[in-house]
Amino acid sequence: MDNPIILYIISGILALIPAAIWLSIIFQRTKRRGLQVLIFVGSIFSVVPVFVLQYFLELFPQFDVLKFLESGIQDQNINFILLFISVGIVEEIVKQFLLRFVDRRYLLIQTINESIQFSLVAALGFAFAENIFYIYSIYSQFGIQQLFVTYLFRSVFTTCAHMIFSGFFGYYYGIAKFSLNIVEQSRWLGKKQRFTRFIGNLFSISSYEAYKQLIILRGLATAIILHASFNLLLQFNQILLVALFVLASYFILRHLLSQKTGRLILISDEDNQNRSTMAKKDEEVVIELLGMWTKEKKYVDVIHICQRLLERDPGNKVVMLFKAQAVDKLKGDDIYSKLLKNLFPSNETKEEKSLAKIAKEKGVANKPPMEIPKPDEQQTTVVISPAPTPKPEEKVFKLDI
Amino acid sequence: MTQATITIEDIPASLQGTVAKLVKFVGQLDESNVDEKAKTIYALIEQNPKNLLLLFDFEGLEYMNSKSIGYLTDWYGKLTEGGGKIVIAKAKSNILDILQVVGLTQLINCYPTADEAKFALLQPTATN
Repeated sequence: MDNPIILYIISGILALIPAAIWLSIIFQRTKRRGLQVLIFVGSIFSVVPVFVLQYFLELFPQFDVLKFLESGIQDQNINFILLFISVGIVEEIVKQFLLRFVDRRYLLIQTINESIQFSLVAALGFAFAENIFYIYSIYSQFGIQQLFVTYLFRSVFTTCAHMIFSGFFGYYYGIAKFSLNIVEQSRWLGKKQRFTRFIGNLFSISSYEAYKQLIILRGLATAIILHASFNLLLQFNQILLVALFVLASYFILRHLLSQKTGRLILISDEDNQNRSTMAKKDEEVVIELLGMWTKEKKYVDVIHICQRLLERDPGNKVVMLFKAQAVDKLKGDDIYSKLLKNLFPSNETKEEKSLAKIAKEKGVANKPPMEIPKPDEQQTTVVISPAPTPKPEEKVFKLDI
Repeated sequence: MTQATITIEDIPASLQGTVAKLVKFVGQLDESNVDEKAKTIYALIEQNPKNLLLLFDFEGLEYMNSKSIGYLTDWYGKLTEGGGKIVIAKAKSNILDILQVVGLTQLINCYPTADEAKFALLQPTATN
């Protein structure tokens, strides 16, 4: 089988099998599959810049920064680290390029989880194309015996690793994308964000923009470090460690994907803006209290308050974030959270007796809210009767988690 | 520092073993004064750990910040633990609005007049 075209076609078919399996796994948990297929197909071509760069550096070695650095370093291990970091930088950037481009144009990503999922798909497209060339190259050089093990390893671990690295970047990209709400919420939580403000002042940009860029850089750095570590372990033939590394990264990413916060649609909906039936100043007092009680780990109360506040101001993304985070903190008993808690034990204490619990103990948890006048009627003392004893069929305040 | 005053008056309590107080809040409770003012109420609770009945008159209270709501919740918890009670009278609509969203109106009854609040406060309940 010497015809390179036929060999490439066969390599493509072989590479497509794991890609299709991985894609079907991703599809089990996602919507908007058509868009994901488009991103997958588009990302296949993201290997082109990598090859163009390699070709360019072969033609003009004087521009090869890596070779220049390596020439001054005698230690082979440091050279490997440099090589893998540079590979990580290039590959992680090109993997994300199409996704970020499409998202900027068409506001593709609406939630943090979608950012992760689209990143997984984009990485899969890249890994698929890379696998074609690896299969072709290994078969051409070493024959079918060597191909089998490499094919299996690349299909499972390397492809999965590519997706995970990009998944982490996608997570941070999602946070960066919705930085407006997240920075706003951090402010209510009393976080000073000194470094963000310093960067903002340094580059004369807003805190939101500074936060956004810093988070993107953090995501990129995370992906690059993971990628370089993976390659380094492979270089030293630490297959078991590679497997553990991929597995642990998978669990962390899986945990991030299971977060309620990640499922929030944080894209601004103009129809829901300024629809609050509560005076701004009063609402700010309640949001400030949410920040205070979140810090005090009174998550049940935070959820209840958020639910009531969202009835008054349905489009408030900051309140949605508070609620989702409180729910995430409360439900941190899924298998992934337990695993992570065992791996990285924290000093978090149990929350104090909550208002909701007191209300339940007093049997007033279902007490209907009192009639409160609208903001335009404010500044007058109003007549309010004490709430009647609740009837069993009256509204039950359920936690929507 | 924003102006806020708290004055405490006795209410003749007909229930045996109880102490009833009228606590009048005037001004704005904010970051600049709330910690200082809260001490007054904590001192009152400390002096009367059991069966303390408090009527909070909010007629003159224009603003409560989040911390003061946190304190109110804490006072409620401490008082009910010792068999006491809190009622609120004459709160402005903006304050009631906040208390309702926070969920405190489920626990602390609010009344439009001091007389109604006093009547409700001095009614014997299961706890006193």
